Amino acid sequence: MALGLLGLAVAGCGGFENGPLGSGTVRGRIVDAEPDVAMVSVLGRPELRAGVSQDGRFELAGVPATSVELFVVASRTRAVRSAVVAQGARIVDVGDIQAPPGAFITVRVSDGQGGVPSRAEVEVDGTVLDEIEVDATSGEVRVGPLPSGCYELKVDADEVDEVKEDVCLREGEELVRSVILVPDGDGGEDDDP
Amino acid sequence: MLRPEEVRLSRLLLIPLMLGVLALSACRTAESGEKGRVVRVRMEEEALVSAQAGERHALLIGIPEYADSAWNRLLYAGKDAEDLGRVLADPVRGGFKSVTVLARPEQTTRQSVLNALKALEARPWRPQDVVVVYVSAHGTLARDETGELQRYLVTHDTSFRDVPGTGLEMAALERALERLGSRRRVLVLATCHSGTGKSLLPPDVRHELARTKSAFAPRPLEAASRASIVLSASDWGEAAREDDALANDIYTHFLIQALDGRGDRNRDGAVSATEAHDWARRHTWAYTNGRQRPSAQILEVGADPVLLAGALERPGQPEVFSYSARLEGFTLKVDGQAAGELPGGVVVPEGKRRLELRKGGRVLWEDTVALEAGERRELESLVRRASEGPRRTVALEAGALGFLDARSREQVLPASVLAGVGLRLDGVLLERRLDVWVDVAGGQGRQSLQLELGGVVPVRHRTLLVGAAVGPTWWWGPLGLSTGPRVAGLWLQRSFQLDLLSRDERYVTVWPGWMAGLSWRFSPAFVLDAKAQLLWAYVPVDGRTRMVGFGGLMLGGGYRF
Repeated sequence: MALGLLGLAVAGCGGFENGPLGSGTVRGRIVDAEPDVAMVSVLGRPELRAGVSQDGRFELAGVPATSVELFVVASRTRAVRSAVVAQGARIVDVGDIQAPPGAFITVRVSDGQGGVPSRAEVEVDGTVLDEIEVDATSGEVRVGPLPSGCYELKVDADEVDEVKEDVCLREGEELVRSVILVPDGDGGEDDDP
Repeated sequence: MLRPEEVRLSRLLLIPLMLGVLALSACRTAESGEKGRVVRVRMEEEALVSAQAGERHALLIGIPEYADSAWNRLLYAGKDAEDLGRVLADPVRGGFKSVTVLARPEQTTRQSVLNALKALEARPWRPQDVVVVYVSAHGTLARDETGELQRYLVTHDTSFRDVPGTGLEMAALERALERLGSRRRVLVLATCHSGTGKSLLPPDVRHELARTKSAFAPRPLEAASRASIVLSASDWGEAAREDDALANDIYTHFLIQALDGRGDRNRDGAVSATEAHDWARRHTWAYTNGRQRPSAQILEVGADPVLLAGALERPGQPEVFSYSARLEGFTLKVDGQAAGELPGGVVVPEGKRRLELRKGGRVLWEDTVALEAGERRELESLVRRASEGPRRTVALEAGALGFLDARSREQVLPASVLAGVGLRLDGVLLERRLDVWVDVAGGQGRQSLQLELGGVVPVRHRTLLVGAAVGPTWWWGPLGLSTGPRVAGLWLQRSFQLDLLSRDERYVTVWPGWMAGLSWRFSPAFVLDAKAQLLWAYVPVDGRTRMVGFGGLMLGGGYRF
């Protein structure tokens, strides 16, 4: 019995698990959503994403139980960012979300010598907008809609150094950004210090 | 001449008394054993009258002259007996029905004394009768035929060279007294066996004692006598003295003085044996500058008042008393004021009084005692009851228990408010040096965790704690400090009832730890406790076991029984 008590003292029985308390669910409804393109994700965690139902309702699970920003695409032209505090193991209903006109960025890619780099792609970091292929003929791509705010734009192509640029967009803004991609090893420009 | 007894005594006082007078000695505490309980003396009229219907008789022996010139003549031994006899026989004072004084040489031989004792024995005694035997004479020590050192009363014809063959062995006197039918026997000893004052020892005994560092070998008479009250003119080993200025044995002089009414401490109209002794004791002490300390031994608590003079006219003021050697030198304080020294009796005002026994700066005992008129309380029984008294305490407790570190309280389990019951067993281990505590407490609450990732998460939690501790307690008056190791079994549960999680988590373990407590005994039966505990445990959190400390504080109120 003494050994049993000693064992119990050392090992105990049972325990506590806080893991399930680390994330929660966020739900709501996007007003005037186009279900085929509408989606919701967590800014910075694009893998956490969800589509919407026909009436625009969405439910996003596994949201870190802390302050996050939802990246909401309502339609082909409207988008919004919405701050929310997710709660551990609980559902937070953000209600109806009205999305204003989103912004678009037209990215023009060149190799500096009049050509277009092969398999150029554009990504808006932290969002679901990634691996967007640049038209190989025109060297352009239009990215959006993007909610107003600041983003990091990443442009990459075969055998060139990746280029990152910070862009800040206003509601409904159309922005054109030219990016020159320098081949690897040539000390191509990079926005990063 | 006799007069009808007017004295009223409690029926509880039907206890044997004997008075005998002997010389300077002995005052070791005798075992009172079961007789040390508190006895309330209530003045119920009929019972008292019935109880008082006893007669008073006295045999007073004073031996001033000795045939063997080796024994010094005692100047006042005969006068002591006669003076005391005069007071006892006086209807206004002692009112004794018979007083026999033996003081002349032919009356104080060994055989004459034995004959007087036989005559006393032949009288038809009733339990309520009072008998006083007083002896003022030389005392000595000698070896009997078996080689044991015995106490002897030196009679007129006792030979210095043959004390065992010619002296009166104190044991014989005791046996004679024991055979009396009275239960109110008082033995007064105005003699001693110390070899000084009224004592002379044979050379071989004196030589032997001179080399003995410890107390005298023979037991003091008080340790063996079955007289209810033994009054001694001096303490064991001290000299009892005569005094020319007083023309009496000093103690006897003040004993007689007390019987004229001055000894009536409680103002009930009568002078009891202990009142008379207390008067004589205090004045003897003062007169001899502390060299002679008369002693008293009451073997039957409640036996007093054995009335030696006067009659009970009214319930006396309440008294507390002690003649125990254990309490000698203690001061009794009543409501914070010094009221008297022990041994002896002290009059206390009626009502609830705060009594306190102190010696130097040390408080042996204190308590609030309700005293009524006519009541007498023995202090030692009160002290004994306090010290031996309630050994168990059951307490209702409330407090809190939680992780010592804030992070665990925020992220694992908030502190719990607990309520429970505790049992304390005083002095049950290691020869009464260690106390044992056992307690059970439980509690529940609804609070929130503060998670770094998860935010504020409401949680319902329950705690059940079963603990045991052992340790010593140090007391300073009513305040006690305890500390010792502790082991506790703990069951913890936290419950989540959330949108996405409905789950109970439990953890049970046994913890080692430490306990410290403060106790305040604000009355004999009730105590307030504050106990703190520290415990250590391994607690698994998120799959990892971490060593954490727990702290708890419990406040409680207990009943001692």
